[in-house]
Amino acid sequence: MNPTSLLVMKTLFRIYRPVVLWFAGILVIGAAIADAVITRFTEPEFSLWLLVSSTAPRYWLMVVGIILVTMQLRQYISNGVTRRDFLIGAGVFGLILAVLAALWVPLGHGVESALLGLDGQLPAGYPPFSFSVALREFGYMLPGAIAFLVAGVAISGGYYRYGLWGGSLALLPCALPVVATEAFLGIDGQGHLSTRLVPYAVALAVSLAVTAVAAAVCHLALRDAPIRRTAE
Amino acid sequence: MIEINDLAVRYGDTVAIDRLRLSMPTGKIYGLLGRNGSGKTSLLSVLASYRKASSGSITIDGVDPFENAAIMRQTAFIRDTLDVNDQERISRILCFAGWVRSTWDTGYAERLLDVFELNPRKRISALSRGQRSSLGVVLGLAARAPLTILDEVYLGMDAVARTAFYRELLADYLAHPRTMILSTHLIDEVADLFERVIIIDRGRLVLHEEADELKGRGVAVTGPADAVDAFTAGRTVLSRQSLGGVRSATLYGRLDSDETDRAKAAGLTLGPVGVQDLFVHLTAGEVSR
Amino acid sequence: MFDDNSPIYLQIANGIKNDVLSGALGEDEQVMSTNQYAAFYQINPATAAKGFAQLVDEGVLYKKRGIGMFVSPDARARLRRQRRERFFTEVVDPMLAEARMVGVGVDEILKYVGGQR
Repeated sequence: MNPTSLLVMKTLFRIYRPVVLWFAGILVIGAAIADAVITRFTEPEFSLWLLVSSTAPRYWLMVVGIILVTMQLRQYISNGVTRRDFLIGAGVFGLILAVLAALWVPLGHGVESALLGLDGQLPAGYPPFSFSVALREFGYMLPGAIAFLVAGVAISGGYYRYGLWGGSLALLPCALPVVATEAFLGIDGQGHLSTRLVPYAVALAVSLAVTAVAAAVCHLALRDAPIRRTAE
Repeated sequence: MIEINDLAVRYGDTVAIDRLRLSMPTGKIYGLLGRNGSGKTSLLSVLASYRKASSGSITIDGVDPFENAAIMRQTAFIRDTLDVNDQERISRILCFAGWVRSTWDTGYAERLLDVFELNPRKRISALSRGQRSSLGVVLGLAARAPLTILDEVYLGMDAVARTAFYRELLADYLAHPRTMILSTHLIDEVADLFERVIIIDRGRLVLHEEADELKGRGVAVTGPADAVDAFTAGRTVLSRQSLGGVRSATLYGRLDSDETDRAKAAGLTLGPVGVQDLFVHLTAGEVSR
Repeated sequence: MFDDNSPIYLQIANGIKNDVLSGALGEDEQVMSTNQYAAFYQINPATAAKGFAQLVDEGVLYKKRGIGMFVSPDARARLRRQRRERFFTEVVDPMLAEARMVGVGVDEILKYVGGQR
């Protein structure tokens, strides 16, 4: 990473810091209130945190991916940054964001299970927390988080580079990372991790490979893309 | 030195720039004139690496600027639409420019906000057309980029704001000499600021000349139709107009004193043609010889 | 200050010559720098520099390296000589031509001019 792409990454964090904090705050407070209400009336057989935190950030990451292309690309180029430096900086930024989103799930799960177990005993059906569970959750979340982000970048990149018709044609292939990940790696309604159809290692390999291909194609499309006007 | 060689920019079947050749020494203020759709923005977009050339080449100090980090860092291209997020406040946009641009002058940007009476708390979406343009000027000048390109940034500005723009531009150029390219339609009010004028039409170069030389480059010859025709035969006539037996022809080129005497002897009146009129004649279509 | 008819650098040169002739600019007096001139009249500094260069060529101004430009000691006298030579061809001749056209005789002109004394 050269100084400029490092600068891109750092400034992206500065831009997104308030947004991330708000988003995380609302998620934590919402989950805490919901947990408090639920445990008052019933013994939950699922982890509310796992349910919420495993899905919401993915879609949020997809939106970030879309904004990176439709808005930030232009802002950085117009301030004298090359497409290459922007794509590298934004790529690393996205990767770190995805890792944070994946860490966030087991972290909250640990806190939630500690709080629910304060009176000495966890609710019966609640997915127990342990280090190996945390590791597994992280392993499930990370490929999905990256896939959603890359899909967001790829979909908006398709429209950005090839216009309405070209972008619409590219829409399905661009969404492939999401499809592949969702098909193989899921978290079910009770917050349990489920490997569908194929073993985890295969699922992970497929998801990462499809995501990498989408990222590479997207890079090809954007590395010499004309910078569109706002009005277009 | 900016060297443009057989440059072409095409959008599908549309040719925006057609085998353009141009050599532009750096450190000067250029006026880029052309009608709507003449290819001005396409040319500037390639210069600023916003777009790749379809064919031909551009070099700045000997290297291709496209995706060249050193050159792009030293380039500021302000488009009339502004490349900012409409939901953001002015202060935020200037702050961002300060983060990313190493040459950005924060104090100067703030002074320019005062000059143009822009409230930094305002969101872009709440700005009038003229205020947006003023913000463009702030972004363009405070970037202090060695290559500063302002593409019709005066749109919607009133006469007071435009005067402030020209004054600030010249003052900052005098303090920090650099290459500035301004595209404009309002030729007469800025012509004196330019060192050189480039006129393009339909993607081709019409003229590249020292701005001051353009004054007196056109001559309006008026008199009896026969005498005018005889005098203008064999010269580049940009336009002709007749009223009864009187004819007026706009000639391109300077007359020497012999020719002036001859015209006067033939009972013809010679008049000056302003840069704006010259531009209109040069780009209005048929140029007959 | 500037009209549209002739190049600005010539107008600048003429303006300074007029100042020298009228005495507004004295011998060995420093003139504005090209940048000051450009900022004051809102013109490109290269244009201003061209006007000054012309004056240096004609010997009206001289350069002191690193300091600026000054009015030549003999500039006023030289300019006067030049203008006097041109006075008859450029001012009197056209006047006489005009007088002939409207039927004003030379005697009449002399009488008028005599009355101005």
